[in-house]
Formats: sequence, structure tokens, C-alpha cells
Amino acid sequence: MADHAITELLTRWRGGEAAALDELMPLVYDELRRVADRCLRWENHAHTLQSTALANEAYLRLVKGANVDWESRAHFFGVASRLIRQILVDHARARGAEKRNIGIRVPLEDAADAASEVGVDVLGLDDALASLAQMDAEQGRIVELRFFGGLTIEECAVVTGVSPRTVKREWATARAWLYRELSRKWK
Amino acid sequence: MGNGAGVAVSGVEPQMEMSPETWRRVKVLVAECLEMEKEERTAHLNRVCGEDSELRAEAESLLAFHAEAGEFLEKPAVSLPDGGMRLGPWQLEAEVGHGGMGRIYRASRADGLYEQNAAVKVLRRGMDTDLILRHFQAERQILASLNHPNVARLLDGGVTPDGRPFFVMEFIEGRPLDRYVEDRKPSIGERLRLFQLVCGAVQYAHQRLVVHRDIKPANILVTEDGVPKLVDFGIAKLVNDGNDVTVVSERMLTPAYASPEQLEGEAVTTASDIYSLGVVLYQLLAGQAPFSPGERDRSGEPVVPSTAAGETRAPTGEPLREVLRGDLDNIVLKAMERDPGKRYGSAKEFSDDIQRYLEGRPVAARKPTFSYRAARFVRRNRLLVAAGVVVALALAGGFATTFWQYRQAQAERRQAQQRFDKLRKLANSVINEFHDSIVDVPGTTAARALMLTRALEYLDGLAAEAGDDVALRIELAAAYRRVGDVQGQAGGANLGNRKAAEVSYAKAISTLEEVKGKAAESNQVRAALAKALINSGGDEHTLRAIDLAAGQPELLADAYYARADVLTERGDYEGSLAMRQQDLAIRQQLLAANPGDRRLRGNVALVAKRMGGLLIRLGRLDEAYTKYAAAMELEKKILAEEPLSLGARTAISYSISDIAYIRIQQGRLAEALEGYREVVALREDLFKKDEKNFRARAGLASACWRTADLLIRMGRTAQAILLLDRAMDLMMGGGASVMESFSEKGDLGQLRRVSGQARLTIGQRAEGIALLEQARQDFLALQKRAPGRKEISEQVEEIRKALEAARK
Repeated sequence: MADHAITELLTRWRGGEAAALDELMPLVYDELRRVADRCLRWENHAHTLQSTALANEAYLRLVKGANVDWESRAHFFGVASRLIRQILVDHARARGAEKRNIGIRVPLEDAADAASEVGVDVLGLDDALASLAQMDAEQGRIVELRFFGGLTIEECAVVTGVSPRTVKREWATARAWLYRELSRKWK
Repeated sequence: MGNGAGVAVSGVEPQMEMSPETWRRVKVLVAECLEMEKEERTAHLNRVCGEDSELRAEAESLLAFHAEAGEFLEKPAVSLPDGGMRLGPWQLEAEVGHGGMGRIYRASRADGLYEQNAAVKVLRRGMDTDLILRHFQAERQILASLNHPNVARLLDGGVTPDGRPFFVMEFIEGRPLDRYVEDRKPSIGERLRLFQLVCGAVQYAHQRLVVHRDIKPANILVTEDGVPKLVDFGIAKLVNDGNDVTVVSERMLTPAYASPEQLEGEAVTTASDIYSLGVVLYQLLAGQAPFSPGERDRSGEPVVPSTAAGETRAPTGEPLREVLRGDLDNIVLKAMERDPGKRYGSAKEFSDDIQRYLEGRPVAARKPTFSYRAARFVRRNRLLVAAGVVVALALAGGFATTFWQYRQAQAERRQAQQRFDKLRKLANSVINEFHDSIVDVPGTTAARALMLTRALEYLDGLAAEAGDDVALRIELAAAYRRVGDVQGQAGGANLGNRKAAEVSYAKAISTLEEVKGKAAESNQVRAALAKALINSGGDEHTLRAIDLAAGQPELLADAYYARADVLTERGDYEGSLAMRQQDLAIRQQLLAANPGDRRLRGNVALVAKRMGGLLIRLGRLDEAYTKYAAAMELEKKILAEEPLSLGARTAISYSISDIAYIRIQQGRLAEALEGYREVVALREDLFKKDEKNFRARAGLASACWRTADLLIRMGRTAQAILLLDRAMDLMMGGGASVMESFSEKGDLGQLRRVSGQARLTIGQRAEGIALLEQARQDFLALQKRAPGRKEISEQVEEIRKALEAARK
């Protein structure tokens, strides 16, 4: 597996070697893609699988065995967050096509289960996030790290190099703006 | 903002595209406000914005959305709450499910001793861990010894480092039973055999004195090879032991599948599992569960499965109702007896009775009677009976031949008037076949109107030429009627011009009245007249139509339909319901005779929905839901067969919308919102395909409005305003005559009122007042037009009060 290569590249990149990132990205992407494909195939005959589970699985495979410290971990997730976004978007697109073909389902699921779902329209979010990044690239990045990368405010601060308070403020206004954008699309 | 008639609405949401510089100013201001107390914000906004009203509106809007955003994006798409945790030899991997009890993860052996996947269930916090674990220790041997091909094995258990109990079970790659059935659509026989395997597993556990206590489709996983596996055996008991009773009843059982004694907190025995099995079989056969997810009331009898099946068909094509009626109904209901003593004595007895059914032998669930045995005989001797039917068909065939010869003779006689007929045919084929072939095609409403008008001109000319030709007059009337339909028939794709439609209908009716006395074709005239009266609608017209349609089933059903509309409008819902019941009965009979007829199928669905709508108004929500669910089943079939049909999509959007409305009445708001979202999306799509179609426009506007109402009710006002704006755009964006149709019904005024009030709620005072003022003007104009209508003057008065309060 590429675990060791990934850890090593990560260390080199953190040590200031910019080219390491170029080598790292394809490796991470391949691994994420492999896991995602397997998850998606598996989805057809498993209990239920959410995008959360998909991404979790991808992360697990990547960090398994790699003994990374807290800061490297944050940077690593920083790299992966964009890829995760891409995979989730592809996944949502495929799902959308499927849903259009099937028609409409009657909402009869167990109420408790339905309530605990975090319903986020990944495709809509992806679009809106692209618009946000045009107005403010750093803010777009913070959302990507927080939502797609699962980074905490503190981890975000480490990756972006600004204070946690700034991350918090940027996150709050970005969230409000995105929420409005998605409400507008309402799909 | 589409602004058809020069009505200015200020205070719409600020534009979304902003320059980076503007955005910087906005976000800094919003961030500052967010760090302040709410009371300080206004002053701060005043100070920073000054005269810059755009900046202010933008900031206010974002603050309002921030307040409503709740948990939006706060739970990351990616997180590792438990994933990655190692529990003993088990390495947790992806989360594969969650429910009231906790979360379920896929796990693998981390010690590498051997390859094994497992499902690990980590219970949620707040349970009595010690007690659960003590019981687990006591029962672990028994549970772990359950070794049956249809039972998922319990492998291990323990407590997580942060003190939550967990169970490790055999990992099953499979789908929950209900999803499996939905995806694979097995035949009734296959379902029964699948279910028998489940019975076998339950029987096995019961013999070892293990009661499941939470049998439901979600706990029965079916593998790709069609092997069912029961999961969670004994877990419910362990978990329940660790909770006090009240929490148990709230959390640890699934009311829709629980037996009456479980719901009442009495002792749970193997008979309780039998009951739950009965509920599962019910759902497996009828396609829906007898009780809704939260329903705890078991005092009444459940609807008989065959009745619940409604109009759905078995995978083999026969009406499901017919398949279930009798034995299968009785088997299910015996398992679901309120009195545990009257249920099947064991899962094996249950399974054996199903076996008898499968073999065509008398079942135990009912004492044999004479007619019962006779029906059995027919089933077992199908071939013999079928032979008799063939003879009857041959006789009918002879009749058809004679009829064909008669038609030929008639055709020959007609050749004399060749030119005349050709023109007439052309006009008629335009009106009938061609029109019909494109009626459902997107974007053709205006084209159809033009086409029909031209054809009508031809017929008009021919009719003048031919003088008294009765048949031609009937065709002419039919043409008028169709033109009326396209102009403004309620319920079809039309141009929204009700007045023009009324004129066309009146012409159709008078043309027919003229020829009615001429005896030769009076039946045909009666039918044509009835059709014109039906489409025209109204009290007298519909009553006359019912008289005229006697003896012609489908026409009579149509007449009942129109009559029911009149009664509904009048508020006589009971009367209307009775009318629709007769209508439905006729159509169902027709459909039974022609099961492949899509139009009939669509109409049956439509009438069922109308009944559902009436039942909602009468407060009979569960019955209403049943009607809608049955209708939607039919509609989905239609859509599957005709994926391009606008009518089919529109119909489904109405079903979802009405079901959402039922959910609101039941207080299930989140579900309702989900439904409405789907409706808005569907109708946006429909509208995009045919923007000239008034009905598509009105449908979308109404969907936006309904969704907005719900959002307001849920406290998400800023979101609601976006949808209200969309609805307003739609009402005002289709030209003056469209806007007029909305304002004369008071829709536009009412919408402005709601929108104004919503804006006041989130602090957009100036815009709110402007909209309320417009709403007041709208209603004042209506008042002038129709003086004395109490609801209008009430509106005017209420808006005046609201304005007064807002201006203070």
C-alpha cells in the first residue's frame, strides 16, 4: 500500500519541499477513488451508506498505520479535503441521475432515522462554494476544510495560517451566505 | 423581478453576485454584528451603513439567514467520531447505519488472527452500562450459541474506552427486507417462501427461549442470494434491561411493528414476536405497513391486507387485492390477533399455514365453509376452467366479424362525398388524433390552441355548407369543446383563459341543443352534449350531464366527477365523497376489464386522489393517506411507462404535495418539508419545459407558496421569503391576463400579505410595510369589483390593523 509513501511525502512537503505535494496528490486521489468506488459498489447491497461513511472509510484507509502527529494530520486532511469534495460531487451526480430515472419514492422511512440525516445538497453546495471562492478564495478554502475535510476551527487555523478567531468569523459569514444561496436554489 | 403590470415591489433579496470588495465590507459588518448582542446590532448597522441601503439590506438578509442556518454544514461530510476506534480485537471502519439505539460500524479483526468482517453496534450514551453488561455476561452464552443459517451470529461484546456498551455481530452484506422487496419485486409466492425462512429462524430462537422483541424489516437483512438473516436477536432485551421503563417505550421499540402487549408495557413472550412477524408479512404482501411509524394505537382492527393493497397489482399483473383476499388476509390477521392466545401458537405453525396456502390446501386461519371449498376447487383446476372461457370467447368473435362487415358497407356509401369528407377528416384528425398525440408534449399549449382554432374554422365552414348534417354538427360541437379545453379547462394544460373557454363551451352546447331533437342519432348527441356540459361545469350542467350519461359507464363516471367538483366547491364534502365513490367504483370496474389501459389507470388514480383530498378536509387523515399512496402507486407505473409525459409528472407532484400536507396535519413537519422540496423541484422542471402553460405556472407558484408557509411555521422565515418572491415572480411574470387570473382570485393580494408579514418578522420593516400596503390595495380593488363579500372586507380590515401595528 501507499501508506508509507504518503506519510513520507507529507513529511517532505511539511519540511518545505513543494514538489512533494505534486507527487502526493495523485497518490491520495487514487486511494480515495479506489475506496470510494468500492464503497459505491458495496452500497447497492449493504444496509445503508451515507457519504459520511464513504469519506470516513477513505480516511481510515489512508491513515491506517501511518503514525502522523496532530499537525501533519491536519495538513494531510487539508490536502484530502478537496479530493473528498470532488468524490462526493461525483457520487451525488451519479445518485442524481439514478434518482431521476427511478422516479419518486414515498416517504415512509422510520421517522427517527430520517430526522438524524444531515441533508446537504452536495451539488448545490459545490456550485455555491465555487461562487464564494470567486469573491473570497480564502473563505472558500475554509469551508472546504471544515465541511469536506472535517477539520476543527483550530486545525483550520493551522492549515491556513490565520488565527482561530479569524477562521471562526470567516466560517460564520460563509455559512450564512451559503445557506442563503442553497435556499435560493432549493433543489 | 418579473413585473408584468407595473407593480413595484421593493425590498426583494439583494443580488447574489458581488464584487470581492463589496463582499469584504458585507462580511466584516455581518461578523461584527454576530459578535454583538442582538439589541446592539441595529445601532451598529445604522452607524456603519448610513445611507447605503444596499449594504444594509445585504447585511440584514445574511443575519436573518445566519439565525436560521441551525446546524447547516456544522456536521462535516467527513468525520471520525468512532471510526478508527479499536475495540478489543476489532478495528472499526465505516459507519454503516444508525438508529435509536446507537451507531453501527463495519469492523475487521485488527489482530490479524483471521479474516473476519463484523458489524459493531455501539450504543448511544446515557444507558445503564453496568446493568446491560451484567445481563450481557449472563446471556452471552445463549446468544452466542444461536447458530442458524438465517440468524446473524453474535460474536462479542464489551464496553468502549469512553464507557458505552457495544455488541459485535456477524456482518451481513444485504438489504433490509422492505428494500429488497422494493428493488427485486419478488412474486407473492417468493415473498411467502422468504418469509417462511424468517419464521424458521424465529422458531429456532424461540426453542432456545430467546425472544427477539424487535422484529421489523430493518432487522431482516436479505443477501444478494435471497437469504434472509435476522439481526439483533436478544439485543432489544439486553438494552431494555438497562433502561427504565419510560425510556424503553420511547426508544427501544419500533411502535409500527410492536404487539399490543408490548406497547402496553406488559410481559413480552414468544407470542409478541409472532405478532411482529404478522405485521412484517402484512407489509410484505400489501406493500405497506398496517400502522404508521409512530402509531401506538392497537384498539381498532387493522385494515384487511387486501383492502390496503388498493389498486396495486401483484408482480404477475393480477390485482393484488384479489390475490390477498381470503386465505392470505386470514393468515396475516390471525398472526396479528390482539389476544396473544388466538395467534399462531408458534412461528412453525405460522409457517405451516403458509405452506398449506402455497400447496392450495385449506388453511387453518379459517374454518372451511362450502363456498370456500368451491373456490379452492377452481384454483386447483385452473386448466379445466380456462377451457370453458375459451368457448365463450369464440362466440363473441363471431359477433365482431358481422359488425366489421357492416362498417365496410357504410364506408362504401360514403365515397360519394369524397372531397367534402376529406376536408372534414383532416379537420377532425387535427382536432382529435393529432391534438391528442401532442397534448402531453412540452411547450405545445399555444400551438395546440392555434391548430384547433384553424380546424374549427374549417368545420364551421363545412357545417354551413352541409346544412342539417347531424354528424357534422356533432363534430363541430366536439371541436368547440376541445377548443374550450385548451383555452381554459380546469385540470388540463391550458392557456388560463377561462372566459374564452366558457364561450366555446356555450357554443358547443347550443350547437348540440339545436340537433338534439333530430331522432336519428340522439344517443350520440346525448353523449356529446353530456361531454360538453361536463367540461363546462356548474350546478345545472353537471346535473343534466348525469341524466344524459345514464347507461354509458365512463361518461357517467365523468359526470359524477364534474358533479363532485361542484359539490366540493360548495363545501358539501360528504356529498362529494359519495359522488366520487360511485365514480371510482365505475372506473375500477372498467379498469379491471381493461387492465392495460393507461388512461383508465390514470383516471382511477386521479379519482382516488380527489377522494383523498376530501378525506383530508373531513379530517380522516389515515384514510386519506391510504388513497394517496394507492394513487401514487398507479402513477409511478404510468410514469415508468411514459417517462416523457408531463401529465404523469404533474400528477405525481400533486400526490407528493398532498401527502406532505397530510404530514403537516399529523405534525410531521420535517417529512412534509422534504416532500414539498421535491414538489418544487419537479414543478420547476415542468414549468421550464412549458412556460406558456398556465397550469404549470400556477402549480409552481402554489408549490413555492405552500413550502414557504411551512417554513414560516418552522421559524425559517428568511428562507420562506425567497420562495414567496419566486411565487410572486410567477404570478406577475406571465403577462397581464395571467396576472389578472391570480389577482381576481385574491391570490396575489394574499401572497403579498404573507410576504409582507414575513419581512416584518425578520426585521425588514420598510419592505414589509410596502408589501402590506400593496396587499391592501389589491383587496380594496377586489372589494370594489365584488362588493359585499365578507372574507374580502375581513382581509382589508386585518391588513389595516397589521399596517397600523407595523407603523408604530
